[in-house]
Amino acid sequence: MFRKSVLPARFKHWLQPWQAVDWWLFAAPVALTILGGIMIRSVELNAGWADWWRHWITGSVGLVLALLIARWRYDQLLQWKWIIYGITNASLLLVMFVGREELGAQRWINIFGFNVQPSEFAKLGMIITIAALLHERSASTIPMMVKVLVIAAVPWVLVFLEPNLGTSLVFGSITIGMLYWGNANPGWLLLLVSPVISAILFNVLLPIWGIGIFIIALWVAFIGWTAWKTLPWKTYGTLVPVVINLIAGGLGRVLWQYVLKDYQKQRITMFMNPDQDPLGGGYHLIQSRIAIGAGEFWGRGLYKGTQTQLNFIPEQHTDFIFTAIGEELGFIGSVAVLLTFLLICFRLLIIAQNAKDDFGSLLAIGVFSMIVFQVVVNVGMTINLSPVTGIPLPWLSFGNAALLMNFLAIGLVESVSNFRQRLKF
Amino acid sequence: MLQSPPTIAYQKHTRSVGRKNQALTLTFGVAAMILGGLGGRLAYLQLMQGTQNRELADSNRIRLLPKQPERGKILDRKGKILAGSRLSHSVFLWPLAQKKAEWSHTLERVSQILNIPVADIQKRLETEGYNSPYRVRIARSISPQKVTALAESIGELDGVQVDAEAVRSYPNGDLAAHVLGYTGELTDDDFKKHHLDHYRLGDVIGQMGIESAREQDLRGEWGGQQVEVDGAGNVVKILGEKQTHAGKDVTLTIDLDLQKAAETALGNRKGSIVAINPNNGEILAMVSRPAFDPNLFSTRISEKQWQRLQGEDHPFVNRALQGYPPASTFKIVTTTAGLESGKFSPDTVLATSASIRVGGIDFGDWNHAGFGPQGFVGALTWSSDTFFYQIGMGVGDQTLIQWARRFGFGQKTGIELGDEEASGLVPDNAWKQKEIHESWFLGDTVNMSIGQGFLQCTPLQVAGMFAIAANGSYRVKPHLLQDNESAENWREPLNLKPKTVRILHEGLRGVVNGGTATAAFSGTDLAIAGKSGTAEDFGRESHTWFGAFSPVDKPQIVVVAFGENSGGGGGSFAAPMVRQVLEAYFHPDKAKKQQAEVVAAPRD
Repeated sequence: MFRKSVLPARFKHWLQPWQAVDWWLFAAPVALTILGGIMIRSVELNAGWADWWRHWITGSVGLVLALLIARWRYDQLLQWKWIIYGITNASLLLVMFVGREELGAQRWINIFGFNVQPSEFAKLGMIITIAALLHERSASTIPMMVKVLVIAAVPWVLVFLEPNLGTSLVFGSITIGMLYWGNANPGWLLLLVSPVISAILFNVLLPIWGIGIFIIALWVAFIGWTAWKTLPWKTYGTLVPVVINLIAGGLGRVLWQYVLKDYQKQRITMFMNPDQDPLGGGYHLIQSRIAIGAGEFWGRGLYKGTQTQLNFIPEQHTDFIFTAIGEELGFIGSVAVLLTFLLICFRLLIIAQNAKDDFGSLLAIGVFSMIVFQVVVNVGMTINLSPVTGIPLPWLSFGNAALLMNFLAIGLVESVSNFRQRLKF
Repeated sequence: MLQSPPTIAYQKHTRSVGRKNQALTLTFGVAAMILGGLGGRLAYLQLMQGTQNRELADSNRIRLLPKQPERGKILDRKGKILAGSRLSHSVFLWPLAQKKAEWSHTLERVSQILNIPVADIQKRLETEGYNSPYRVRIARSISPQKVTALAESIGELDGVQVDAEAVRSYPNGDLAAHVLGYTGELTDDDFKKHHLDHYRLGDVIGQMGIESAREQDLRGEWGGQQVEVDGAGNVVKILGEKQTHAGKDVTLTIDLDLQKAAETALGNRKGSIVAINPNNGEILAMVSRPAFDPNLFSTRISEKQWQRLQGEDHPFVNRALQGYPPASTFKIVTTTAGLESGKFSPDTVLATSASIRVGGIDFGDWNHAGFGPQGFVGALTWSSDTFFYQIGMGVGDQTLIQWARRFGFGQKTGIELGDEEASGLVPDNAWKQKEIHESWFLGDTVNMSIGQGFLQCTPLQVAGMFAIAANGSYRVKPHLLQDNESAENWREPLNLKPKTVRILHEGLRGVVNGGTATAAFSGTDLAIAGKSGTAEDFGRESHTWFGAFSPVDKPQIVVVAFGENSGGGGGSFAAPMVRQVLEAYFHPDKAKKQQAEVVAAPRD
């Protein structure tokens, strides 16, 4: 469509190897990376350091790598899946022992002077491994789903122990998304996440008694019904999830009331009511909200946001980069960024839909899950809709490892697009 | 689809995942989350609340106002205030009130009025940061004149605020300074060193003594407000608030009146006085000199004051908790070792002489003549050195060392002041090999038997020793906190024979009643038993000791006075101080009128 009509004929020869890639899927991340560099520069103007250009350098390297990957057959990865899985886990293990500590977590390894964050690349490793597994046999049976879950659990636990809560949540969303696409029964996936929901429900609703208990009972009954309908073994299949949910709810309540310290609880619930700790973490969340709100419709103009220029927001060039966009580019800029992400998501879905095999289709969905989750949680955090978890905003946040990994992921999906049918040459 | 040939050999099948409805579900799900959830919230913040948010951002009108909790008081055993708080005026700057470049004029004016160098104020401002929503304290406890001067020109001083603030105050000045310690602002170094949670630069923190040891109780919990201010800096609205919780009061076992008497008794002489209850270890008074006035640190101490303090002889060292040779007071241990080991019967009588020769060295008696044949009681009464040399050699170094440790020497008493206490030293062969590279000689045993040589004991440990002699049966744990029940109930039985206790009581009673300290106690109606000590410090004046308890048959109090390099003798220098404290304890009304008097007495 786009590529056939617009490109002049003489480029066609050079573009031959990429003739079936999705150009939108290249254009959108590149646009975001360019914008990211500009916004990082804006944040850094008054912060006393200036390495924003590294964002563009890394982005360029990432783009070149993505283009190279796009002309290389992705399905060769199938035979490498265990090697990739092994390297992923090994690098995560390595970081625990020789990693550099930052903000209380082991996250970085130094390789030839470069700080590498294995947990970023582990996301991609995990997508490839799960896609390859589900390619062999889809998750339409319980044993297959359990197998995938067990295999995904190893890197998940390693990341969780770093501790890196944000990335472990991303892992979770990747796994759930791919299982869903891989023909797992949605009921099973609901059962899978239900204990977490129970733990939250028990904490929120139990103190209200009457109506609260009624809602909890409804929820547990619904879980029982889902299990009855979807699991092959009726009696135990129903009983076990119900009991597990009741236990999870009880444990969640105990954990919240007796184990977690006040400041830990505060960190989790802060986003709902930043005013509860006006002098601590809540202050920054309020400043972040004010910054975005102050952008109004047209924004305050690039380099003119007072909140941004006066450094009111911590970690603004990394996790909180969206606040700079909100303040300086306004509603129009923020929505444009969200629409760009939406475009990326749609292209990923289209590629997933048109892929020639399960492996390619699942790769696209894995990347899709990863990006959707990160965007929603990251932007949500800056506007007080989700807790602060340390998840970067793809292509916009400063951070070499994440930026490179996001381009590699795009390259991989482009390869799926590129080889979606038998080539005619 | 199915007929398309596999492109790679190991590809088993074509597509089985991703049905149309799944793609549609995900599409709707994502669109709803991104456009509905995030976009909706953005519309609310930027379009509906945009004007308010822009106002908040424009004026940077949010300020954080931490509220200091009232620091807990330190009380004496009767509830009298040893450390409290008073209100005073502090000066603050709001960094956000002016742009970085505009500050210089204001800083100069403030510097003139307060008489603080501009550089100092600027450094404070920079440490906090020009974008900080917190105010910075630049002066504490300023005079009323300066408050007036600032108030007069406050119109041209944007971002300067004068506010009342509680400041630590010690109503009795340097009284019990070493017990109480002092408070000061948290410095940059402290901050880095301790990694303190919930503290901010400039917070007040206990730096020594009980102030430091009980910091967690005394401090209380900070609260604060997040406020919106108008252009002039007045609070328009309180956006969020957290209550403060006052610190807990701490009650000490110290008795203010007795402490005063002990301070008077010691006067300006270098040394210390400790008074404890021999039955449960409560510390009733503890003085160390030279001292300092902790009030100086509650505001900001000036360079000059600091220099003067440093010029004195270590005023911050609590001498009641430092080790010195205990000299003849240690004869209590030697007596006990001799009698309890069974090597010497209570009826033992030994010849004393001008000196005895051990390993080629003459060890003399202090009067250079000896006291003729003496039993334990007589030897204690006259403090005969040659008598105790023989006892020491008779029981041997092992037994003597063992008994020194049983009396609590060589280890911290565990008083609630942590590292400010030294453990003292009970030397033994292993220690001497390691430190001096020599083995233990008989001469070391001889020296130790009269409390000389390498032995180091703190005045508090010596008080602990007297407590054992007084109560006759157990060691107590000296402590300062009234609610320290584990220390109060702590007893370590020594299982002394009744005969041993009787000899100690008679011997120590004899010291006061006809013996070496008779003159110091002449005319008192109190039944006192005590022991003097004079420790040689080669090349310098000797240290002097006197420890006593009273009443002899049912002791209520132990008092130990120690003079560091005071010269003179324990009986003449230290004993009168002990008497003064004891008189104050038993006759509180009379004591207040009495003046310190130094009575001449023979050296021990």
